Amino acid sequence: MLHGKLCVYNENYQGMNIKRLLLPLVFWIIAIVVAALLSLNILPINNDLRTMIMAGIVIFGALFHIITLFLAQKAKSAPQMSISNSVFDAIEEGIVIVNADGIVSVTNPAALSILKLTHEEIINQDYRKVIPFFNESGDSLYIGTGNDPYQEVLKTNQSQQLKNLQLYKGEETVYINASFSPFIGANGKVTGVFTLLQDITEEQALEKMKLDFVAMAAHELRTPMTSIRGYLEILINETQDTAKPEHIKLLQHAMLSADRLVNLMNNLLSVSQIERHKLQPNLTPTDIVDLLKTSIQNFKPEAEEKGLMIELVEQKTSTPQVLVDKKLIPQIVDNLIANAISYTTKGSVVVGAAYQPGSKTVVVSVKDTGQGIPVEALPHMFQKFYRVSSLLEQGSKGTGLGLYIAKKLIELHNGRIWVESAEGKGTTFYFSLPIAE
Amino acid sequence: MDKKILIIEDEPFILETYSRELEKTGYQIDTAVDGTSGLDKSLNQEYDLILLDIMLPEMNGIDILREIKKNEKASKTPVILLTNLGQESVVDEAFKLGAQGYILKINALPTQLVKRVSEFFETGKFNSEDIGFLES
Repeated sequence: MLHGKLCVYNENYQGMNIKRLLLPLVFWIIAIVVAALLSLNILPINNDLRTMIMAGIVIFGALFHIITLFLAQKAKSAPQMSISNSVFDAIEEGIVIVNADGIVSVTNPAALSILKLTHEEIINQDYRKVIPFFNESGDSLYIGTGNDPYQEVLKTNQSQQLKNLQLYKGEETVYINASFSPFIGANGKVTGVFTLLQDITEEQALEKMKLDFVAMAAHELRTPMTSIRGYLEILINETQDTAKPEHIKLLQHAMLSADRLVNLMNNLLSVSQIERHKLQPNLTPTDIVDLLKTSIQNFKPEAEEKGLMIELVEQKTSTPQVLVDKKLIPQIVDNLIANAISYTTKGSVVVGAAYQPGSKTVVVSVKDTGQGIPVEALPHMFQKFYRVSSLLEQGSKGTGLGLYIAKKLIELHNGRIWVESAEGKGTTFYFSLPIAE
Repeated sequence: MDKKILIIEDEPFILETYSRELEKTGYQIDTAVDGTSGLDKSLNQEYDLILLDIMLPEMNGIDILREIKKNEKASKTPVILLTNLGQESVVDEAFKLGAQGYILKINALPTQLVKRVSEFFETGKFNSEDIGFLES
C-alpha cells in the first residue's frame, strides 16, 4: 500500500554514458580539423567553396545535435513511460484518482474489475455515485461528518487506510481494504485523492464460512451435551444411597467435565456471534449497583464454601445510571467474580462501582486477595484462548475466552476494561461504562 | 401435583431425562416425538402445560404454537418452548404468539427444569432467565 504523498518522479536516471558522447565528439573533432585546414588556406580550394563547406559543417552539426537530443529524450522517456504503464495496467490493486471536485479522473484495469464497472461508467462521475463505500456496520461512509475519507484527505493532506469496506453489487458484496492519499499533480500541489483498492472478498468469505461453521457446530453439539448432563445429574441423584461414594465422585467429575465443555461451546458461540457482528447490545439506563448486588448474591454460597468474604462497596455519593445491556453486563460481572473466587484461597472478593463527579463513566472493579497474575501474563490477559499457566483449582471451568469476550462486550458498550495485579497479593479487574445522559 | 404435561421433543435422550425427572416429581407426562403427533395431541387432549421443542422434523415449533393458539380450546393451555438455539428473533416471535416462556436446554438440567415448571404452577409466572446470550 502507498503511504504519504504520491509524486511523479523520474526513475530512469542512467548516469553518464560514454558511448553516447563518442559519436558527436568524433564528428566535432573532424569538423574542427577541417575548419582549421580551410582557414589556414592549406587545402587547394577557392573562397566560395570554402565558405560553403564551413556553412555546411555548421548546419549539419546543428541538425545532427538536434536530432540526437530528440532521439535521446525519446529514448529516455520511453522506458519510463512503458514501465509506469505496465505497472499501472498489471497490478492487482485497483487505482482510482478522484480530483478535488470529487470527479473520478483516472482508473486502472484492476479498479474496474474490483468495482465491477466499465471505464465509461466510472470516468467523470462523482465518486459518491460510482464508489458507494459502506463500513463494516453497514453505514455509508459518505453520510455524516468526518467519515468521508476523500474529504478528510483533501482537508488534512494526511493519508488514511480503511479496512473491511463494503460495496453492494446487486446480490454480491465486495469487501475492500482501501488506502487514500493526497495526489500531487505536475504543479506540485494536491489536486485530488489517490485511492488504492485491495479486494478481500475471498478472505472475508472464508472468514464468514469459518464463523458460520463454529455457530452451527456449537448448536449441533448442544443436543448430545444436554442429554449427557441430564443423565449424569439423574445418576448422581438416584444412586446417592446405593452406589459407592467413590463412584458418585467419578460421576461428579464427569459432570464437571461436561460443564466445562458446555462452557467452552457457549463461549465459542459467543465469540462467533461477536465476530460476525451479530450482537446488538440493547443499551438502557440502569442502576449498576443493583446489578452488582444481584451477582454478588448469586456467588455468596460458593464464596462462603471457600471461606471467602464477598461484598459490595458502595460510594457515599450516588452513582448515576449507566447505559448497559441488562443481559450482557451481568455475564461479565459473573465471569469476573467467578474468576476472583477461583484464584483466591483466603481473604475476600470486593466489588465496587466508582464515579467521579464530572466524569463521563462509572468504573466497576472486582478486587480479590488471590494469587495474582505474573507480570509477563498481564499484557495477554484479554487475548483469545490465553490462559495463565498456574495451579488452577481442580475441575476449573476456564476456557481462555471469558476475558476476550468480556473485552469485546465492554467495547460494544463504548467502555474499557483493564487489570492490575501483584503476584501473591491479588488482582483487580476494572471496566468503565458510559453514564446515561 | 395432579398436573398433566405434554412434552413435544424429537431427541429421545432429552425426552427421557426431562420426562423421568418430571414424573418423579409426580406430574403426569405425555410425550410426542414429532410435530404432527404433537400437534394432534395438543388439539385433541387436555393438558395443564405443553413443553414444545422448536427444532422438530417436518414442522417447526413456532408453526405448531401458531396452530395451537388458533384452536379455541387448546389456546388456553400454557406453552413453554424448549430450545438449544437461543435466537432472540425466534423467542420474540414465540412470545408474540402467546408462549409463556422458554428454556435453553443446554443450561437446564432436569432438576432445574422441574424447579421452573413447579414455580410456574405455583405462581403462574415462568422464569425465562437464560444463561447464555441470545443471538440477535
